[in-house]
Amino acid sequence: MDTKEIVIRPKSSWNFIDFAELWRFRELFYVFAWRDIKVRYKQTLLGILWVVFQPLVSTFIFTVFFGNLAKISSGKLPYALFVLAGLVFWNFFSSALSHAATSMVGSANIFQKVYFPKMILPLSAILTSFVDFLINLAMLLLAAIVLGYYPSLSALIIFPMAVVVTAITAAGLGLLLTSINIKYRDVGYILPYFIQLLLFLTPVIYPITILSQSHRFIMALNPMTSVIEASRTVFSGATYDPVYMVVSFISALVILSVGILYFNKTEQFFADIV
Amino acid sequence: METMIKVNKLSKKYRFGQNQPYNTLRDTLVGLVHNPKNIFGKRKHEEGQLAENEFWALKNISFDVGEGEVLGIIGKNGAGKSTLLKVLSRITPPTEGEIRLRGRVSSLLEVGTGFSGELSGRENIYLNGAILGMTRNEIRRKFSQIVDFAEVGKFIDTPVKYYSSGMYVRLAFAVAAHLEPEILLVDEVLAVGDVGFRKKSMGKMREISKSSGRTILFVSHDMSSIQNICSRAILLRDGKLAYSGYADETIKKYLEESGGETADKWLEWKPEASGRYPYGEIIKLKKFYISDVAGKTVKGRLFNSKQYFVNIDADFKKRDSRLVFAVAFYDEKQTVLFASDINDNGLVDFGTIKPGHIKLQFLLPVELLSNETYEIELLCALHHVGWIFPPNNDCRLKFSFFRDKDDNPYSSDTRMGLLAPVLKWSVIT
Repeated sequence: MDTKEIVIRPKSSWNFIDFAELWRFRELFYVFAWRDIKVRYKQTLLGILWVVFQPLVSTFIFTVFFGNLAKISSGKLPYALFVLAGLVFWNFFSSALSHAATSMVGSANIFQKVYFPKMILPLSAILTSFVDFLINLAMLLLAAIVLGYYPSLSALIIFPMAVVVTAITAAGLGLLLTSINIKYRDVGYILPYFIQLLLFLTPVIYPITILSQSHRFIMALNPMTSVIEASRTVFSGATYDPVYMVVSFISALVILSVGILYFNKTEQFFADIV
Repeated sequence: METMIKVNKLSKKYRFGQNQPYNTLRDTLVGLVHNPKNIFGKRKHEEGQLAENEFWALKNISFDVGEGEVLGIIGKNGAGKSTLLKVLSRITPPTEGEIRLRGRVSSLLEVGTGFSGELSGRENIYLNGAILGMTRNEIRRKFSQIVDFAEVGKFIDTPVKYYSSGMYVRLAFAVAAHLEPEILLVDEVLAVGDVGFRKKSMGKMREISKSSGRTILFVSHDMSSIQNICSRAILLRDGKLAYSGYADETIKKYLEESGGETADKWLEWKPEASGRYPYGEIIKLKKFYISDVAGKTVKGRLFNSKQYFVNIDADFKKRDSRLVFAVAFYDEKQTVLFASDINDNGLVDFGTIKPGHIKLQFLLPVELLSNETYEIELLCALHHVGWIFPPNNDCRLKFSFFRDKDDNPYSSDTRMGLLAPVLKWSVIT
């Protein structure tokens, strides 16, 4: 048991992460995630199967409308696999973001009564979505193998990187939005439209190759662009320009920094204004 | 003794209407047009200054708490007790000043924080324990103790949304009671559950503080709990430290000032000017009141360390042997506790008393009363003829009583009943 002295003072506003503090409360990360997973599918008939159905239904609809009717090109991959690969990562991103963004307001009754580093709440929301993602990823691999598109070994590098970039981006945006949501509940109303809009700004249902070079560079500022495009190369064997990957990675780090800074600046007043 | 908590010139500012002015994004955007510097929210005012819509929830509070000490925090609603605990537990930051805490802190501002109705009792123990700062190993070690204490038995794997509210609260308290921080901050959570469980929780609190040398800060409105487990207490008034000292003295200070406003008018009764009472040609009541032994009127609450007279001032106009006075003591639920009349010590014959102003008085039986609110009703009649003040009239005094002096080390909260007579016990071997 540590008998370290704790000093409470008026806080200076701009500070970065107190890693030691987060580490001391590390158990809360998975306790919160475990709670969310446990609670989420109680009182549902299909339970965890929802995690499987969601991308399958979307894939079916997108394949019918965009693949078969609109005949959007999907390169070397069949459109269904193409869009499923996109959706698996996209769903991870969108569910992590929307859970993180609503995490603080949803748990106000906890942080108003007990102290812990508040950042744990949005971050554990991302952990929760990650568990769903793992199931979806297994589904994707299975579907690819069934369709005869064996993943290349590059998956061992690309997938972990894709996960990290997705998590960083969702965390950054999530921290920012959840802080704003504490004061302005408008965020909760805007968020679904925002995510929908982002879906169309990300090459989920279309390939990035339909854009010109210069536009692709701008697209890479959206980290999810590289996540999805790179992930597809695992199955298609195509290449994805690492320059875009670097741009996306830097962009993700910038988003994360802004999120952390804004969160840390406003965090101390959450209990008073929520 | 080592100082565990050191609070130095602590102040906390809040805004009115906050929990807080609920701006929408639009409001802020409009505001930004007027003053673009506000992009990151609050403008900071000079230290120690208040803007017009701000107030000090805490102002310049300093105190120390030593190791193993149990400090009570008392004060009226809005005096800043809960804010103080929130600042101490780092839920909200101070505006000025500094706090130094030595050791692990757990705060119990409510029981069952984070409980999820869908989860079972077992799962909620792990969840709540983790939120309160226990490690999983710690919880696993104490799991069976927690379940025993909570008395939920075979329902441990049932979702808590199916629990009775009593079971729910017991489970929640049980987890909290098994925390082992060096410093524990408690906010009135003991006011839960049925009487039996409350006693058990109080016992647990006492055990925690006495046996393990834990430092505890305890906020409560229940003076007997404070008196029971706290050695020292501080009194807050309007966010300022009004008094700090031994628990008994601080409680007395608080009760004297808090009883004052509402109760004073009940310590004295006068007939209404328009009131007409029978047999006015024989006796006219002037005043029915409680005074101290010197005859001075008293304010606020009454204590068993002092002596009081209950007085009846009247104009006695005509001798009449049939005149009788009596009083009845009621509890708050209007149950008659006991009654006494003027002939208790032998006949008092108003046929032999000289007419004029008279005062009747008796000593309030302070050794008989407990920590309750009582009413004294005046009864007056012409014996076998008719009532002047019949039973259930409005000629009543009402007062709150507090036993500030007690030789019983286990003192008052454990004492059941509406009265607290001290009996002569002896041990015969």
